[in-house]
Amino acid sequence: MEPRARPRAARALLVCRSASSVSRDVIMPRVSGSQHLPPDPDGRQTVAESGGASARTTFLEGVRDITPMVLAVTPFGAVAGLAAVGSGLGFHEAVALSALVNAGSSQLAALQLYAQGAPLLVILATTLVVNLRFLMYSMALAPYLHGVPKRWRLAVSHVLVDQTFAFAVRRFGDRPGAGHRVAYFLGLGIPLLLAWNGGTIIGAALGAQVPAGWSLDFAIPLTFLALLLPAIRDRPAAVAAAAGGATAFLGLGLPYNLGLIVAALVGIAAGLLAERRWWRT
Amino acid sequence: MVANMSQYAWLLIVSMGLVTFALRLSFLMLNGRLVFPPLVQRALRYVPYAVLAALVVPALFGGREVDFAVQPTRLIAALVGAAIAWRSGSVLLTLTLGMVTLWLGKFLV
Repeated sequence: MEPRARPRAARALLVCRSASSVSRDVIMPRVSGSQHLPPDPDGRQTVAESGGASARTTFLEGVRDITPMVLAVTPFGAVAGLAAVGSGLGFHEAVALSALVNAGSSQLAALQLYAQGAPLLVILATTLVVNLRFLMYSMALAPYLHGVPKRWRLAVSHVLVDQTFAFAVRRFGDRPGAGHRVAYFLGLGIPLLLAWNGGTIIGAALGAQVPAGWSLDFAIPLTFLALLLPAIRDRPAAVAAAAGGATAFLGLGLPYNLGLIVAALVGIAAGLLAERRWWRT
Repeated sequence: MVANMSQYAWLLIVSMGLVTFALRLSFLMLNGRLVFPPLVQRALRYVPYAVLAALVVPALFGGREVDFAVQPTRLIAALVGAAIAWRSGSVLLTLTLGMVTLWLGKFLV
């Protein structure tokens, strides 16, 4: 399906290395707060290492690795479905949103704005900011999929999310010689996509029955808290979050949540400064 | 009017999908020929933290920026949610107990 890893420039090697460290502090939904990365695969004998792996076997390895995440993502999908219907989208629109965007926090952020009647460009700018991390994932993954046919890179792109990225870079980094990377990635991504959309369908179907007095819109900030707080594992990250939150508070007077974009920039700058202050010395 | 709203929603959904897909495809399409300078890579790491924190704040105000008064029930429910998220790391538990706190607050006030 794809050529074996070829010798790459030192630059690419640097990217590989940074990719595996990135995977550890990625923000992602968790099952119970403990284990969100796969057990160290080195102990397992895999067909890929023994030389004659079939694409099908490698695909199934991906499916097996992602199974705990599949269970975690279904209720989150249900929240996205509930929130979509609660924000005024119809059932089909709610389902299409999850299927086409496939990025939970940006969907919830957009729904908040949609319910407030924000203009299209503001919602799209917010989507862009919330999903900027995908640029980083794309960059880190690219060296591993060098020379893969375009149609497979398109398929991989749609299922490139926090969880699939974290598992994939870990495996690709640990086993540079192993083949069938696209098969493995799709083995991670397809079950997750199905679970996400299944959850959304359930949530959107239920959401239509729930009265507005239940304030289901509040599920959105609660979800953000649950994603954010456990992911803060070092001081620069905490500083970035605190600065982002404080700036958003000060920017509340700005129309249509434009404070979000300012808050993102201030938070990033604060994180970088905190790195210099505490990490580097 | 209803038809227009629906068209607007579909335009929004499709364009959000395109923006997100473009971000994911970007470097994969370049086939590994280009990378960001290290400073940008480090900066991108802080995007989720800053953005998620910034997204929580307006929701404590009932989600409307014209209304500057903090809603006490929402604030308390958010603090309960934050404590549970911090201790448990579970999305489901945070959601359940946070929503129950909000409903209790509304019921009592």
